[in-house]
Amino acid sequence: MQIIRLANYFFKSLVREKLDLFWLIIFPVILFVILMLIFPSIYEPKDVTFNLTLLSQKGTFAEIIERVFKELSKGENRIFRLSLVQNSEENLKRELEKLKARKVNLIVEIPEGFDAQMLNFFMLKGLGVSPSPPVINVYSLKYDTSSESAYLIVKNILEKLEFEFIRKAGYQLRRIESETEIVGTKSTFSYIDFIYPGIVIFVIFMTGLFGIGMDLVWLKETGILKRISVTVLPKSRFIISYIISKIYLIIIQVTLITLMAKFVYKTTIDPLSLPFIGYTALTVLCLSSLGFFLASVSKTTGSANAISQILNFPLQFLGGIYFPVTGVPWAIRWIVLINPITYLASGIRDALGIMKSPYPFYLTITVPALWIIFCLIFTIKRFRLEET
Amino acid sequence: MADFILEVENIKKYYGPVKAVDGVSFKVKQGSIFTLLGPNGAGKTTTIEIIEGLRIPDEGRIIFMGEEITRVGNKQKEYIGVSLQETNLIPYLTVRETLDMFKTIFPRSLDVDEVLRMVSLEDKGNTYIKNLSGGQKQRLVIGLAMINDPLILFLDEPTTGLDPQARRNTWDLLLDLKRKGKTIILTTHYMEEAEFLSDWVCIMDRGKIIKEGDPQSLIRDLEKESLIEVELEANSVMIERLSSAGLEPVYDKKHKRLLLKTNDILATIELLLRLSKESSLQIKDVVIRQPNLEDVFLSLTGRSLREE
Repeated sequence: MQIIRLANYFFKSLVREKLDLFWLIIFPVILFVILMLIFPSIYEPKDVTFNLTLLSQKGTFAEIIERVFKELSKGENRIFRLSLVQNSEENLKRELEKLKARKVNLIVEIPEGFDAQMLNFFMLKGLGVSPSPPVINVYSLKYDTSSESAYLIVKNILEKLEFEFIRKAGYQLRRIESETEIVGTKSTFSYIDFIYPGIVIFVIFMTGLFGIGMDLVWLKETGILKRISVTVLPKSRFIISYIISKIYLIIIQVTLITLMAKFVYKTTIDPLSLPFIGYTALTVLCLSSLGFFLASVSKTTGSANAISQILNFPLQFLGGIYFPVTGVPWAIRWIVLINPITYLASGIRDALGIMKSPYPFYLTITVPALWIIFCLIFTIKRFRLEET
Repeated sequence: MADFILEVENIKKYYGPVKAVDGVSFKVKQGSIFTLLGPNGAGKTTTIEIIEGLRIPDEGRIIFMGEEITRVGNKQKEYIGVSLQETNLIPYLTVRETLDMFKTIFPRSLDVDEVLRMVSLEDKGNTYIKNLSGGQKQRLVIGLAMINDPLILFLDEPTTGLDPQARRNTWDLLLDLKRKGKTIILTTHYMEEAEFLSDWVCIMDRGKIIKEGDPQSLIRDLEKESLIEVELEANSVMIERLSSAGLEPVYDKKHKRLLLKTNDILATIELLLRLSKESSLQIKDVVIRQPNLEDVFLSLTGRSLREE
């Protein structure tokens, strides 16, 4: 097989280069160890019980919700400390002040007329009309991780409760004053489970940007690609064999990281699970195409180095590989939102049940897919083995 | 097969206002060594890269093994071997692996050991490319060009940067390949290389072929038996007097070298001494030699091949 033999030679040359070997295989392992030394203690759940105010109303439906919240705030394993307050404009104002002062993490407001709305809703529904469902307002604090987490936990609770009449009715949870969404879980958070998929994305990212992007520019600059282009080898075959050689590398990288995660740090993630394999494959496609994009826009290793550095830090640190990036200010949030790594990291963690993605499933697929399409079209149009 | 294995007619390649190749035509006989000689920037590499299929000509015809083509494609590439002007190879592959990698690319190829023997690198098979000397690397590059057992070899400045011994070894290798029936198309700016190796030389300058022929006939066309090179600071009076004596003086101000063409060495030297005395100019060095391709270029362009 011509393609495989060529891929084997590309791979051989790569693993014999000590510097490449260090940066692409050894360095991610070192980084993994460092992160595991630093962050687990920071992320170690201490008292994560949060303060929740329930602004309630009189009425049958409101009381049912009150009872549920009271139950969840009792005992040693309580999720939150509950303050039950009668809903009024003045009380809401006061509680909002507390929220801003971070004395309260979340306010759940059962608005005035909630009971009437519910009754009206059921009545109309019984008559075959599709009315708007009743609303519960939730107030959270912008850019405050505790508040964000509290919001999503409450959302989860309401969703998961066997609240048949509400569920059937289709109540609506309306969130106010919040621009971000994070779902945290109280007691099951494990940093290794969080960071392991992150490191997997990181090694693929490094391979894409440096192992493919920079390497191709070097091959072009030194004339090696030009030499290949005067042979009968079609460009497509060259690219396929080249990608295969990088897949060998990624398999080694991911296997090494996985073995460490599994046997040293005891991750609960199953690396053979379909979601993990699927998202890893999507990451390989997306970040390899990013490498080809880099090789297509750069003529020299100097310019490739500059572009790769411009891409490297924002994409890496604002992609949620090492820590959640949902609460960053708008000035840099646009980078988070256009960053394919954001969606890949969120998607993979959600699929593995580590952390709920703040983005819908379809976005975790389509944004990286759009990047792949963009980079590949650019590569097809611009990438040349030789200058003509 | 046609007598001419390759014919190029009026090929042009312009880069904006720069006429890199400006209507070049030539024919290459099968089994010969054909050389494009010229200074850097003459258009040799662009011409050869058009024939190798690396660049698309703006105009012109290429007749490759009797078949007219607009661009060299994979069909033709099976029959050609290429050594580019600057060839770097993957540094962490061995010589044998590099040859095998290229062998993999072609449907028809020679045995790796055979190529290693051909380029005298049998003992370097397991050496990494990065550890080869310049001469060894160049021999390997020619070996790579040979791996598909081509009919035509394109060698773009194959001895640039090599020491004299390595250059001589490369020449021997090329003559050996010629003996094996290969057609070699060579570019060089070394006149001694062109003179020693070539059956036919095209002298190129500024994108055009300004003269062509076999090296000996090109030199004979100068119609001078000898050349006298003098190192001195010549003045305009002296140049004028030498010119009126029919000696076609060419003065290189930068290197303070005066070149005279003559059929009467003694008379010319006598005249030179007299003029230098009259003008109080000190002659520092005198060399009497036979004309070569460098002189052909000089007589055609007024410039030296090396000064470009």
